[in-house]
Amino acid sequence: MSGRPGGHFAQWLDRRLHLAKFVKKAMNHVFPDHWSFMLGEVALYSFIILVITGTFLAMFYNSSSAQVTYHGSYRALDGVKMSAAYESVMHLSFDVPAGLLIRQMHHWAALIFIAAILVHLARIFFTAAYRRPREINWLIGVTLLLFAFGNGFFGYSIAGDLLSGAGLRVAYAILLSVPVVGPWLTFLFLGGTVPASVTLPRFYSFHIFLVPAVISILLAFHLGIIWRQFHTNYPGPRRTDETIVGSRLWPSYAAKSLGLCFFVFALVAMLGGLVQIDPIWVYGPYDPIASTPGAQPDWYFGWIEGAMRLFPGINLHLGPYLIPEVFFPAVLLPALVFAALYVYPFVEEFICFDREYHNVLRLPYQQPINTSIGCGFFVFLAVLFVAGGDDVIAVATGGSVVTIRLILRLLVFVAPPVAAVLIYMLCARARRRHTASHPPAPPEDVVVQEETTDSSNEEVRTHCDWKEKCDW
Amino acid sequence: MTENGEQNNAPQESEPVADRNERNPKRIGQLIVLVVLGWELCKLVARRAVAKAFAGGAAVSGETAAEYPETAAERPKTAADCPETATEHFGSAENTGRAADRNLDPQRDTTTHQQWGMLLVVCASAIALAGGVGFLLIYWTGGNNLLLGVTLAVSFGGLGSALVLYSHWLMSRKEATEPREEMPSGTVEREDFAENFQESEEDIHRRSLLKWIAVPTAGMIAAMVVSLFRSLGRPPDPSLFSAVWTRGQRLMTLDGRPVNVNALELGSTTIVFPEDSIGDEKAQTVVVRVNEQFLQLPKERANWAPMGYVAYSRVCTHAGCDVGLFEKTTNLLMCPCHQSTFDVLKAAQPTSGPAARPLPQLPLYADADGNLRAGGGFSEPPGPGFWGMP
Repeated sequence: MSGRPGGHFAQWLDRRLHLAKFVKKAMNHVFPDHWSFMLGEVALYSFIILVITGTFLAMFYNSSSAQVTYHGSYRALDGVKMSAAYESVMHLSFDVPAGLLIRQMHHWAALIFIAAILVHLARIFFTAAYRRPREINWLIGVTLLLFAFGNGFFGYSIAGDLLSGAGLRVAYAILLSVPVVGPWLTFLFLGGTVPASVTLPRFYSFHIFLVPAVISILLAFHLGIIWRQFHTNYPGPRRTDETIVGSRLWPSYAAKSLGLCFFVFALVAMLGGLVQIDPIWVYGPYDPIASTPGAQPDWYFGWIEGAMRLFPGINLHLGPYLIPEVFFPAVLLPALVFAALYVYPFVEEFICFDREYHNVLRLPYQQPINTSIGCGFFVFLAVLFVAGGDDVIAVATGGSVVTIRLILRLLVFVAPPVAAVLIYMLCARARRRHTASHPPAPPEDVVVQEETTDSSNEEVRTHCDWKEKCDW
Repeated sequence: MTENGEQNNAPQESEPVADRNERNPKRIGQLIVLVVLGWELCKLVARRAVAKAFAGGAAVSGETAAEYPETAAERPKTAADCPETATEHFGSAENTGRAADRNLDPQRDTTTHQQWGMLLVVCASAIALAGGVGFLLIYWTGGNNLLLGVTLAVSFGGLGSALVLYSHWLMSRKEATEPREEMPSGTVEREDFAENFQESEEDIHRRSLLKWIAVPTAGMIAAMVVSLFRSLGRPPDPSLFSAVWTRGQRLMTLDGRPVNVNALELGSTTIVFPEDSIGDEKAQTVVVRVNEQFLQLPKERANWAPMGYVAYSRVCTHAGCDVGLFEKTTNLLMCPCHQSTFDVLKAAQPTSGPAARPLPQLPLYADADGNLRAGGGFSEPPGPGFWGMP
């Protein structure tokens, strides 16, 4: 439309939709230029890949757990009894042209989707972009992460292979462990035992319909709000709380963003073609009595897996009732983690009495406390993640699982505070050095600024003076 | 210059042999020199033309500044910057055109720059096209998944590169500055809204009636929706507390053979099911034969292990995995999911790892034929823990 403003189609549309003013405004929308603002876009584009490849897969998938005998082109499993679900995944992997590619792309895109969300979240956190007025988008983003986790699990579970069956049984135990309502939830939603024949159709329905719909709606709000509020800006020349600096949507930003979209597609296609993922034919169909040494969930559940391995065997008896050991690491811990994520902006706002609008970011070293909390939290999760593979480490190092578990149980308490203190010291040092090399503007300069315009003094304070009201 | 070249060439060779000249290496060399010289000449002319068109020293930055004059005019406060930075909007090196960015002379090199940009974009597009054609060829000739993925990646990567190169080399990279909207609505707007709201409020006669309708209706709809959840399944039933083992059931392996008291060596195991429900996941039981004199079962279970055969639920009490590993030397059953270990000799009490409860034990006895039978159900509810578990 922009190339030929008088184009026939453009005019046709404008006559019906009165677009000229709106499109002009949209084209001139300003987006800041910084690679870290692309992380959320990577998540968005991998979601688009997920929808496209998932639609293809859904045309072949069958969620029935009826037992069938396999006679497909993968000869090694010929004559093996398996669920119809597993057989349909085998069929689409081996007998549908490009089916395996699409399936592997789907799985890789899911991993990249969640990874991108997490890195995006880290960027928001370590630059304090969640501050007023962006708390709503923070809440939506954390909720998106939650749903992405959920859908990752549903997708992992419906393939009907040995590992997804094992994962389902653990998930059943986790759901069952919830106080009071646990048994009700498992009987209503999972059919009482796992794997019940009701599980796969329900998970399938959640996976392809309910959760993607929720994610799409939340994404729409997420993007709508960021469009309304504009992005933040990193500190720098002309970047103030009252301005947005960057490139215009059309043509510069659109070209870059679309280019990024293609790059994400290319990365996923490359991984899907070259790097094998979730080879269900190697695992074999779900067999209730086959044990699965070395089984791991997808990487983003590694921290919960690790917490389950590290948490000691403690049962809490409340009179005739029981809170089993699984509840604490697998329900309570994730609940606390997400609760902490949800309330963090409001806690900071409350502690700092910070009612200002912030559109210029803080760099990690400008907010040592914030950064050290984030790093400590990250180290905590990293230790748990490592613990999720303690058996693998034991095999690799020749040590005993018991010793490694003991070390990790200590580390999970010791490492986060140590990391936090260390990071705090580093940040404080960087801040001192910066203050030393960039002495605050001499007072007469500020006076000059004050004389020129009313608001300039405000700006100088907000993004040139490191000692903000609260350097949290 | 080209004319001179032709004149020099013409006398040396006669017309009829002109066709064969192309095969003469010497002639080809001359041709290449000519082409290169011509190309250089073209560039020279083009540069002159550009230099004329953008007369003046800061041609590029001047142009970019003119592009968005309203920004500077509308936002006087954006000019107030950090003391250390330049106040000029589009003048500093960081935000002029690409040429300044790359330390090129904006006056002389713009055209070269654009030519390079076009060349790169065309190359990237050609790669994208080649990748796409490769994808189609491979798809229609068998469809090797690996090659499909690679060609798809090449195609999309080429497209992405073309776009990014285009924006980097051929689009203006000037920085735009826009005011943000004031966040709370202005006083006038808010008062206007309040007034409007008041007016429409007066249009709602009988507001309390609305509440009386809304609250029960909302409750009713919620009740209807919640009721529908009941269709999903049934409330928890006694199957949660027990497996299908009953007294007298023979122990059967998965392939349907009973387990004789002579079947197992010391320190070996087998997986058994009740004879009526072979393959039942929750009833799966591991039978271990151990040396009787080392067994340390509680007193009331003294006769649960005939000839050193002990049987435990194979569903882990931690998270419901199969307790699939047995270590002969230490007599430990181990769950491969979270590394809980259970001591076979001590009624499967957990010895390490996250499990808190022992594996439920199945009482055994040998019948007249020497086949093992269950002496009753499990000692505790099998499987992972839950709220109502005793």
